[in-house]
Amino acid sequence: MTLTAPTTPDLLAAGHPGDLAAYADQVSKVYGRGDSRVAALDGITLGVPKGRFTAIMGPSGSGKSTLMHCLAGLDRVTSGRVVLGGTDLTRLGERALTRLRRDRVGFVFQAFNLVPTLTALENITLPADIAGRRLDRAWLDELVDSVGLRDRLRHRPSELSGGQQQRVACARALAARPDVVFADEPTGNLDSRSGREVLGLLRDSARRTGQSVVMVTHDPSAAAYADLVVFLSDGRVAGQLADPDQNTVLERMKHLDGAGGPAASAPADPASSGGPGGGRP
Amino acid sequence: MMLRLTLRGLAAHRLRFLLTGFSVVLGVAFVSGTLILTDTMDRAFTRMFEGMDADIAAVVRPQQEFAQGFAAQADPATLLPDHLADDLAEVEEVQAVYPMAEGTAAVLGRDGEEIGGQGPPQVGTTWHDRPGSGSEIVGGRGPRGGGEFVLDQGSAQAAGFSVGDEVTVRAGGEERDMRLVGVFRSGQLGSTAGSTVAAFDLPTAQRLLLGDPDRVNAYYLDGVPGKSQWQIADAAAPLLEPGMESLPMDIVRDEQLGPMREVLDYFGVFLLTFAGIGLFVGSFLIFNTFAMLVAQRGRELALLRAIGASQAQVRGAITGEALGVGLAGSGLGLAGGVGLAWAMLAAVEALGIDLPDTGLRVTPLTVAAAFLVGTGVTVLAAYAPIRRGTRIPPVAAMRDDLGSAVAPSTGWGRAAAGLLALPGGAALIWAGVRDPAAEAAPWLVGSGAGVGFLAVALLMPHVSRPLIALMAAPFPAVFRIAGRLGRDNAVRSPRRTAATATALMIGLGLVATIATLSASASRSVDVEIDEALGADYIVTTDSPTETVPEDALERLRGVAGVDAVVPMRMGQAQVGGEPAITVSADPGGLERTVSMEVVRGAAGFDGEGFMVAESVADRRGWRVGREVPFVFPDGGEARLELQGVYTASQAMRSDYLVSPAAYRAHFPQDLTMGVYLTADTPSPRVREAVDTALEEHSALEVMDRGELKDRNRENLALLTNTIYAMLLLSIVIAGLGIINTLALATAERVREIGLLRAVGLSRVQLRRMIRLEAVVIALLGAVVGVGIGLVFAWALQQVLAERGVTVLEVPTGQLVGLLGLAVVIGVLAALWPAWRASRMDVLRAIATE
Repeated sequence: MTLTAPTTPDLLAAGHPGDLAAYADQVSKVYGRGDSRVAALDGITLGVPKGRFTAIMGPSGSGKSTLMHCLAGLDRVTSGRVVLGGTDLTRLGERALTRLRRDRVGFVFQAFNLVPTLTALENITLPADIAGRRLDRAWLDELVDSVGLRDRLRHRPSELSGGQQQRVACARALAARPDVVFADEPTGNLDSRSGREVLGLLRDSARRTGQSVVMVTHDPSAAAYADLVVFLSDGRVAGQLADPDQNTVLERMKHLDGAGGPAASAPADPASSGGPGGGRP
Repeated sequence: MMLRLTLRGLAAHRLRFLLTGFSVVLGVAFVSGTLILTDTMDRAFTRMFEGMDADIAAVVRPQQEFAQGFAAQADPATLLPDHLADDLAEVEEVQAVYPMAEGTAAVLGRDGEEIGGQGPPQVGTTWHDRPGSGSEIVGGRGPRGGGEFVLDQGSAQAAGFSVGDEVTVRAGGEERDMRLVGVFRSGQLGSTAGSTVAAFDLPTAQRLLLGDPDRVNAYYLDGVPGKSQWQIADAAAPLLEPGMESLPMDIVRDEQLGPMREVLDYFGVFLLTFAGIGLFVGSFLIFNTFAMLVAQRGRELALLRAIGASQAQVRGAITGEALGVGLAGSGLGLAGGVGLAWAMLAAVEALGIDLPDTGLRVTPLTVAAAFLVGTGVTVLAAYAPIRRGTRIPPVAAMRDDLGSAVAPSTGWGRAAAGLLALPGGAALIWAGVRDPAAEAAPWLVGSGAGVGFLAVALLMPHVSRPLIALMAAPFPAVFRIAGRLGRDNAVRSPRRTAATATALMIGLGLVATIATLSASASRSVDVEIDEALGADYIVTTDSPTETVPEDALERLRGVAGVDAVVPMRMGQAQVGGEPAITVSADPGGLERTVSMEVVRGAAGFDGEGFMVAESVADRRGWRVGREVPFVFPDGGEARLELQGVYTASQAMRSDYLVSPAAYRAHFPQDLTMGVYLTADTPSPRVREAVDTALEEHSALEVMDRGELKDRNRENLALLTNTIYAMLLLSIVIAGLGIINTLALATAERVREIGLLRAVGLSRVQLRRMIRLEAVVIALLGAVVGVGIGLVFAWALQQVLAERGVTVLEVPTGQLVGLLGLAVVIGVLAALWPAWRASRMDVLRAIATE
């Protein structure tokens, strides 16, 4: 267990990328040119542990969404490597990336993003339908029960509440048992009770079925559901926190906000950081 | 402020307005192009005649009720004796008299073919050296004697003839070699509009063109100075014999221009009809664009209202956008119209009608019409969406559920109107079908069809969902998820889909109507020929002004294997006070060559008498045995007995049949327009013998029954193809409408498309999804269009049954082809929107609000 800059470079250096569902290696993402040049990610190196629920936190502009998009193959990096389940995404063409998203990545968005013409069930099976595959019946049943939507399967999104819609979106992401499920502020549009349901769902999928889940959020109470929180600031990793609770996350966030700027991108307070296997407080 | 909003709105939605504007441009271009073309042709024709025969004050000629219409030039009965010339010259007010003999004279080029082909007239006329005639010799000299002629400059140049050449001239059914002694320039513009004009001296013209050395068509009178045209015409009047008239030249010239103006007017109305259909189709596109614009900008409009803009101001801002689109579209359309008119003139010239170049004529009226039509259609089509936009309540700016505020009403009002209109249209059609003989029947069916189209357009949003479900049922199975999504997307906005499909429905529906009617007409003629025509061969002349010479008849009678030779003779007369074209044939022969059923009276003639078609007998209330007064072209009068009533058929279309005895007694000369032949046994050998017998008569054409059917089909195809070409405009605009709808729909569904891409829909699948949506919309239009088209075609066929379209034939192949065409239109229309959607940045798409 190291106390400094969490896990990833060391893990990568130590040759254990197999323990990671996905990782970014020296990734930069630069928008614009010349004076308007902005580095959203600044040579970031970070791994997402397999079978865990990882939260990525940071103030707005810290690059957390960009990082997630790059990890999920939605966006291309300017330099560096992104590896998902052993595949180097930076070497893939558009067609292969589409296939990868279809088969090996699940998405949950802030704004639900269900297809309005399809029923709840059809939305869940959509990626499989696109791929022309049939989902395992038993698994689909289990999934439907776990999201608690059995009686709403024939409904269209417009007939579902926000929480129900987001649970459908979760089920859709989980259905193909992807390498990683990426959730982008999944509770951003929900009331707190619905939010808790969705977060519980994501946590349980990691605990019960070993599904790797990555969630981007700026809500400390949401992050508290994760096994591990990685903090980002100015496009770099600014520390991480294992088995967080709401208070420790808040504390760390304050720190980040206060010490903004490149200088603060170094590993933060060693006392509160820990490796992925770190014990609970 | 509101103006600025309007301008910003136009600028912000440039792309969106592009297709909308383009549909206006197309419609306006068609309208203004038509107006410019007809104005230009009118001026060209007027100018062509300007200055011609300026020296002539009055014309003495046969009374026009006889000289008009068919065979006017060839009918010797409409000729004047030439001895009047001396008497007319004696009249104090007349300075000079020019007897004119005119007719048809074809000049053969070096290749043996007629110069100018079959299109424009081939005129033969009399040459007088008249300084004021407007025609002057520009090379060589005037013709003198039987072997000489002069030719208009354009034709001489076209054929490569120069003065002194030996040239073959065909007139009066005979060909002879003559010497070209001069070339003349016709009128101030030197144009004959593609006609060939060959001129001879008077005795030659009388002999060649009229076949009678003692007659002329007319006398042109040059008046003494200081007298009006009327004075001169009146001065000649006392010398006239019955059946003649004397008229001022100005009136005669107006008469010459009149029929041409009428043709131009018909032509203009014909083109404008299709322009109107195109604009109507375009209005659906405009409606869609503004409906979507208002829906998308609902929040913006609500905000305007919230911060204090009045309804009128909001309405003003959006109406301004419609006006802007309309004005820009009209302006560009007018420019397009100039181009279109130019292209159509080129096409007219390619047909051999060589108009003098007087420049395109763009009148202020055309400009006004272009802008009025363009902006009018745009603003009217946008009216309903604009009204909806102004009704958005200000609080909508603060609410999330904007959808309900701008969503169109359920449309039950429209549906109710449609449900009312449908039986209305059906009733009109039924009224027309029930009494097909009535004058109003075609109009009843036509207006019923119009109401029917409208009713279906109103009902379309409600029938589109089940119809699409039916049509696209196999899509999910065949195209998997893309098929499923494409089909469902098509019914997401029923009103928009309906408007888009309706636009295509109109064009394709009319094509289906025309195709079915045309097939029915062809089939009907085939049936008529099979059932009603007993003749094995038909001999006709290739121009309505030529007749079959007696010599040809003699030769036909001598052909071995030919059984009966039945000449169809025609003549004009006033029958019971009405001008009529009568046919005369030997009843014995007629019975063998056409099946005509004599329903009342005897089957044959007894001496001088006549028969009429049943429709005429009914209309005029004539019974067999009645004595009816006839006035013949030479002024002769007689009372002929009505000896029978027959039913007309395709093979015997004339309404009046005069007995051979009466024809011989009263009509001055045989005018044989065609000959029916029967063979002992029809065989290629007989046919060959008939062809050989007529070898020297190149103006005569022999057809067997199959060729007659083919000829009829070809003639019909020419008309139908022209109409198809015109309907292409509205189909193209409807195609633009599909592009527009897809572009708008994908713009609306950016986030959803982003999501689909994010969860793994490939670009290929995405494009397929959009393509299938387009195909579904196009097919909806085509299926409904073909359905309505069939109903209308059936109704029109019922009405036209009286006029020869006795059989309804559904051209299944063509109609299926029409559905195929719809699929192609859908695929083509989806190209650009699908390409654009597939290029969309996935990330940005998901983030779109």
